[in-house]
This record gives sequence, C-alpha cells and structure tokens, in this order.
Amino acid sequence: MKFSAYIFTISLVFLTLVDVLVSLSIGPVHISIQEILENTYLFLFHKNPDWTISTIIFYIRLPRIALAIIVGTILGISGLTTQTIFKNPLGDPYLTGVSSGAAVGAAIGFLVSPYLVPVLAFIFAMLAVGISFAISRSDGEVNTEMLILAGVSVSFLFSAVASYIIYLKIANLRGVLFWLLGGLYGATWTNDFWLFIALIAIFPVMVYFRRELDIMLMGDEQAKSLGVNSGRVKTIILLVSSLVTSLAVSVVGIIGFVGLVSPHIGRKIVGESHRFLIFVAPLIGANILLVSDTIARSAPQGEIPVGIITAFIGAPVLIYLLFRRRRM
Amino acid sequence: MNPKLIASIIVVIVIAASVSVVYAETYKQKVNASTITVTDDLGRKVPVKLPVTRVVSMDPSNTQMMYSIGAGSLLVADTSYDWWPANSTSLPHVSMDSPASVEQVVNMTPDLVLATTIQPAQIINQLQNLSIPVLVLEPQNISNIYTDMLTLGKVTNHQSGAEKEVNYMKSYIHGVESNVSAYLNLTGNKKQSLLYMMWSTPIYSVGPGSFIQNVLVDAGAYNIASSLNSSYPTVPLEDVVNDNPQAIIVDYEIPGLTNITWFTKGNQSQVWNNITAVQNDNILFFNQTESNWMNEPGPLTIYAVKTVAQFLYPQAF
Amino acid sequence: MIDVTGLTVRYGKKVALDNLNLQVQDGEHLILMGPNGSGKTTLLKALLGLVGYQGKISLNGKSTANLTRRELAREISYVPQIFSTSYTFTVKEFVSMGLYSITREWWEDDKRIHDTLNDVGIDDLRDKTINTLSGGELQKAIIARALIQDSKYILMDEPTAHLDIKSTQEVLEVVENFKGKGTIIVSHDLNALNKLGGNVLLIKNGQKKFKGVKDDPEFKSKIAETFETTIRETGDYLYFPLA
Repeated sequence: MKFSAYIFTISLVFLTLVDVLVSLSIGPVHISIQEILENTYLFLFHKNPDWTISTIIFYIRLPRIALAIIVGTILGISGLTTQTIFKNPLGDPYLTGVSSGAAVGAAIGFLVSPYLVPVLAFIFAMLAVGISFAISRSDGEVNTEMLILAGVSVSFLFSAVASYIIYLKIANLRGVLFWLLGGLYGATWTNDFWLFIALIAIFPVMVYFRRELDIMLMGDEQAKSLGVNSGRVKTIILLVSSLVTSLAVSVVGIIGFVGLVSPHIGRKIVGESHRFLIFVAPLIGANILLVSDTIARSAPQGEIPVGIITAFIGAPVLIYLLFRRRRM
Repeated sequence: MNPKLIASIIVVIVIAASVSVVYAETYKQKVNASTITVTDDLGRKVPVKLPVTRVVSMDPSNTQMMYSIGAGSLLVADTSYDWWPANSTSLPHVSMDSPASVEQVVNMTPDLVLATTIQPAQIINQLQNLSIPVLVLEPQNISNIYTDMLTLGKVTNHQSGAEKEVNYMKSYIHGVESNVSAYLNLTGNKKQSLLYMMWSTPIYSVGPGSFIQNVLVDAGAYNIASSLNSSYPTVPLEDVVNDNPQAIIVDYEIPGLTNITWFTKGNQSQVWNNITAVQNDNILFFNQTESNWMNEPGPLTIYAVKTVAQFLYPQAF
Repeated sequence: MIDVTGLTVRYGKKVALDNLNLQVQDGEHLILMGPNGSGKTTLLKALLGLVGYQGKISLNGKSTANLTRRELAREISYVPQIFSTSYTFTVKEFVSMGLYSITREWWEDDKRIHDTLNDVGIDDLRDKTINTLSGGELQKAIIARALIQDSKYILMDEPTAHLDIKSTQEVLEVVENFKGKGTIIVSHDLNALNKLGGNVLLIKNGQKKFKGVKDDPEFKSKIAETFETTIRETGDYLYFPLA
C-alpha cells in the first residue's frame, strides 16, 4: 500500500507534466509541436521568435495552464480538508459561504469599478466565512454541524443580496454572469505569481496537520481522547482553506465540482489516510481543472465556461463512485 | 364521496365548458368582422382588430418604429428607456425592467402592444389571453427591419409613411455600401478585420446569426469572430492574436474599458500591445447614442451602419 | 491516583452528575454500573475532558483541566462504545492513531503496533480495513489503539455490548491481561464483574450509591436497589433473573 502510494503520487506528478505539454499544444489556434519547440528556443534565447506563436504560448497558454494547476490544487486540497473536517462526503470548499460572499463582492465591484472586483470578492467571501464562523462558535470552538447550517444560511442570504444588486443595475448583468460562471480567461503571470505564493504559504500547514486529519475522521470524542486538539485544528484548517479558496475565487470566479470530486478519486486510489491523500487530492484537482480548461478554451464555438466542463466530468465520476460504494 | 356532489361538479364543468365554447365562437366571429392577421418576428400569427388607435410600446426600438412611420401619436404608453425622437415623453411609461406589469398595460386599454423578447413569454401570453394583441417586433437583420415597419404601417393604417421611411433607409444604406465598395475597388484593399467587444474579460462578441453581425457585414467589416460557430461567442484571446484585427469597436459602458489604457496598460497588455488595432490606436469606443443605434434594431440602425463604415474606411466618405 | 471531588455535569437543565466524589488508585480495576441515564458515560467523558463540568478532577494531585490534550492522552486512554464505520483505514493505520500522544511521526510499521496487535490477538488482521471487521474484531482493534497509548488508566465504555458470547469472552480475557493499568469499565451487565472481579461503583441519577467489592455484604442489596430488580447468585456467579 505504502509503496504503491508513493509510486502513484510520483506518477501523478508526471501525468501533470504530460498534461501541461498536451494542453500547451492544444488551442483554438493550431500550432504544431515543432513550431512550439522552435519558438520556445527562440523566445528563451531572445532570437526573434514568431510573434503570434510566442505570444500565444508564453502570454496566453502558459499563464493559463499555470493558473489551472494552481487553482485546481487549491480547490483539491480545500475540498479534501473540508470533507474531512465536516466528515461529509459532499463537502466542498465553498461550504462556509465563500462563493455567495464572493458573488456579492463581485456584483458590488462591477457597480463601482471592475478593478475592485477581485478585492471586493475576496473581502466579501471572507466576510461571509467570518459570519458563518461567528454563528457556529460554541464553548470556544467551531461546531461543525452548526457551521454547515450557518454556511447554508449565510449563502442564501448573500445570494439574495447578490441577486438584488444584479437586478437593480441590469447593465452589469453580463459582467456578474461571466464572473459567476467562472473562468481562467483572465490568466496573467502576475495573477499566477500571487496565487502561487498563497498556495505555498498554506500547503505546508495542511501537510503538517495530515496526521490530525486522519484521526479527526474518527470523530471529535475519539480524536480528543487520542490527544488531538481538534477544536484548534478545525479552526486553523477551515480558516486557511476558506482564505485560500476565497483568493482563488477572487481571480477565477466560482468553479464547481473540482473540490468535490478530487478527494473522492484520490481516496479510491491511495486510501483514506491523509498521509498521501494530502498530495494526491490536489494533484488530481490540478489535472481535472487543466484538462477541463483546455477543453473549455478550445471549443469550436468560442470559449465555454469551464464550470460546465468540470460538471460534465465531475458528476459522472461522482455517480460512478457512489455506485461502487453501494456495491461494497 | 357524495354522489350528489360529484354530479353537481360534473354539471358545473359541462356548463362552464359549453359557455366557453360558445363564447369563443362568438369572439372568433367578432374577430373576423374587422381584423387582419399579421405574422410577427416569432412567427406568431396575430389577429389585430382594426382600427388600431391605442398602442403600448414595451421597447425603445418599437417606439422608434412607430414615430418613424408617422404613427407616434397613436402611442398611449412607452418606456422610461425611450430616447428618440425625444428623451422623455409625457406619456406614461411601462416598466421596462422585465417582466412588465400586466396590470399596468391592461389599464391603458390598448388595442395593440409592441414588444421584444426581453419580455418573458408568459407576459406576452397573458396579454394575448386577455384579448390584447401583442406583436413581437425584433428584427434579425436590416431587411427584417423593413418588413417589420411595413407590417406596422399596415396595422396602424400608416402604410404610405412606412413605405416612405423604408425607401429612405434603403437608399441611405445603399449610399454607404456603394461608398465602401467603390473605395475597396479603387484601392484594391481587403475588408478591414474587426474585433467587436461587448465585454472585456472574457472577450464577448457577436457572430453569425446575430443582428449586430449583420450590421457589421453591411458596413463592410470582416468580423474576426464570425469564424466561431456561435451568435454570441466568447472569443479566445489567442484567436485575437492569431487574427490580429486592424480595428476594434468597444460597446458603450463596459466597466473599466472606456479608453485605450485598458489595452496598453491593463493586465493582459503584453498581448494587446502587439495587436495592430491597438498599435495604430484604431479603436472606436461607442458613445451611448452609437451603442443604441447598434443595439436597437429599427429606423436608426442605418446610422450604426454608417458609423462603423466611416470608422473602418474614413477615406471612403 | 485519580481524585474526583464535587463533580457536577449539566446538560442544559438536566443534571447528569451530581456532586460526585471518587478515588481510583493506580492499577485499580473498577467496574462502573448503573441503569440507563445514570451518568456512567458522562463520568468517563468528564474524566477525559470531553464535557464541561464543575468540580475538580486531579491526576496524582494535578488538575486535569491544566493538561493539554496530548498530556492527558498519555495518562488516560479511552475505549469508546463500538461504532460502525465506513472508513477504509487498515487495522494497522487505525491502531497507530493511539501513538499520536507519544509521537507525530508516521509509525504504522512500528514494533509497538505489532506487539500490541499480538497482545490482543488480532495481528493477522493488521492489513484488513476497519470497515470489514466483525464487531469483536473491531472492539479488539479499539482496545489495541487504547493500549498502545501506554497510559496509566484505560476507560472503557461498554466494551462487551453488542458482542456475541464468544467475542465477549475473548474481549474480557484481553482486559483481564491489562497489567498494572488502572481500568474503569462501564458495564450494563454482570459479565465483566463476574469475570474480572475488582471494585464496583454503582451510580444512579448522577449520584454515587456504592463503592466496594462484590463480596461486600451490602453490595447485593445496593445493586438490586440501583437497578430496581433482584439479583441472584449461583456459586460465584451473579445474575439478574429475567423472571
């Protein structure tokens, strides 16, 4: 088990690299592998590459591929930790109110200034999360059952606010709609850089707590009696995952299913323990989002919102896994 | 259940059914007496009782058609978004924020309502069920505008006004087209390639099957998004790089995208700075009026055609 | 020594434990008996710091309220009531969780796990997943997880409930072999008492009714009173007659 899990984790890393290369050579504009290699060489050594090809490769496809990997990783790891902490297989990173909070921020942003959309989306996502947490604190720690309900209630409230803002100012409907559907079309190296920084800041935290996450699956009482300060771990993990999810959402909007499905696929392959799952689930998330986005940006009728593709991939996978579980 | 109750329910149903059949028949006869049936842009056959004296318009483009054929005085209500021929009229406004209030419309006792598909189908059906004829006039191309205006002329008894206006529009468009084709023949230039932007990130544009695409074609543009298989495509940025448009038109009131700095200094400036249209500053930002001409298919669409043509081929005029 | 003084636990308005005083010596075997809702499980949870309480619980003179979870886990381990699980941890992984209070390393191949699994007689199951275990097997795995914590005390909540006769015997044999650990076993029936002997604590309505050995002359009347029934004895074997 352990040996094969190592092998699998490493092969997932290789798969990701292969996916990157494949994705790099696919797009609405046909560019052959040879042209890619030639122009990469010319571009890297400042030797007058073909402008069209090098711009498409280095300023459009590559930053977008990087964004897909970073966001997929974030959604995968947040999805996993959310499912673990809530002990709920339907948990996703938006459970604490992130998505609807961000939607309100975005809607306000399009009223004020589009440059404020990411900032406001992030602020309002964290506001929604904060309200959910405040509601569900009891005896000095987060009550997860309360938090699910609080998350749902806060989501309803914020969704209503977002809808009302959109309804009031119909001219911005288009912007908010695009934003709500989510997409990686806005990818730039700058976005990639900041999200990457956030990711490498939170990843070690999640990895550090993987032992505790395993034990917390056994429930609060057992975890505590085994010596896990589960109240503290819950608060830290949920805050960190909400924070990084909000950051991702503020850049790419709301992309569903990746955070929900990746942990399930990972569990089927490396088992329940977070020892490997903490690496495998985000890697699967990265691959799902990268493949989905490659399809989304290469469609013959122009770009398709990537959330539609992730749902098309994610829902059947989830149904398959449920059938497998039932037969077991 | 009580058999008596069942019996009475059946009796009531039978009576109600026969009454409504009889009523419907008499209504049909009434309709036949002095009505014409016209086909609207949804392909619906709409019987309209003549003469039409009270018209409600639920869209600025419909209002414009009414005035342009000389039937503006028949309007009893219009919308708060109307801006032509006058910025605001003294008429009561129906709420244009869809759905419109059916009550409000019925209260005007109109004998004709003009609408577009901005109004939900339920509203149109509800009015139709109340025996108020609703014409959905939403032309998909310029010749469709002509037929709609002639239809409107027939229904409102302003046939000659409609014909006069349509002839004027035809000659206006013909003038623009012949200027452009003469210029292209003379210089041997190819049509200018154009990116039409209705949103910035992602790039939301128009393609085959949309009204605006037809206007752009009439103005002599090669719309780079027309290769995409959709009426309203989201254009991949790499397509823009590959097609490298010579001109860009930006619709009115896209947040953040009101001048060239969005292209030259924005997030994706590394891409945009090398696009020909950006390098030559050949970008037209529609003002509100220009945007209205483009987005409201009606008598003013001809000015949209000329605006685009003049922008693309300034030497032709 | 565990020293409990004036322990009171309330769930809302309901008083689950009412000013309870108790001492458990190192190495003492204590069987905790009482009818449903008498406060047995609540007492265990209070000792483990899983419920809020008033009063004082101290371990060798130090208040448990001042210990971290890990420190407390090194002193007291817990065998919860058997649960059903769909998780696919292997027995090895599951038992290794008991080492958390000692080290945060990954340790599932540790010699301690092997030895402990041997002690409770389930070493052959080490690679099976816990969702496929029988009740008796899972109960033994839970006991192994508590044993590996290497604590001075083990608290067990109904370790033989829901088990068949053979599994009950096996589990009680495992418990009998706990060496030198103070043990508090909550039990509904008399099996544990008959098999293990030791002291008995009777509680009802959150109050202590009796503490002593089963040979105490007072015991039989107290237990009959606590459970509102009669008790009989055959040889050395106590039982509640059903009719």
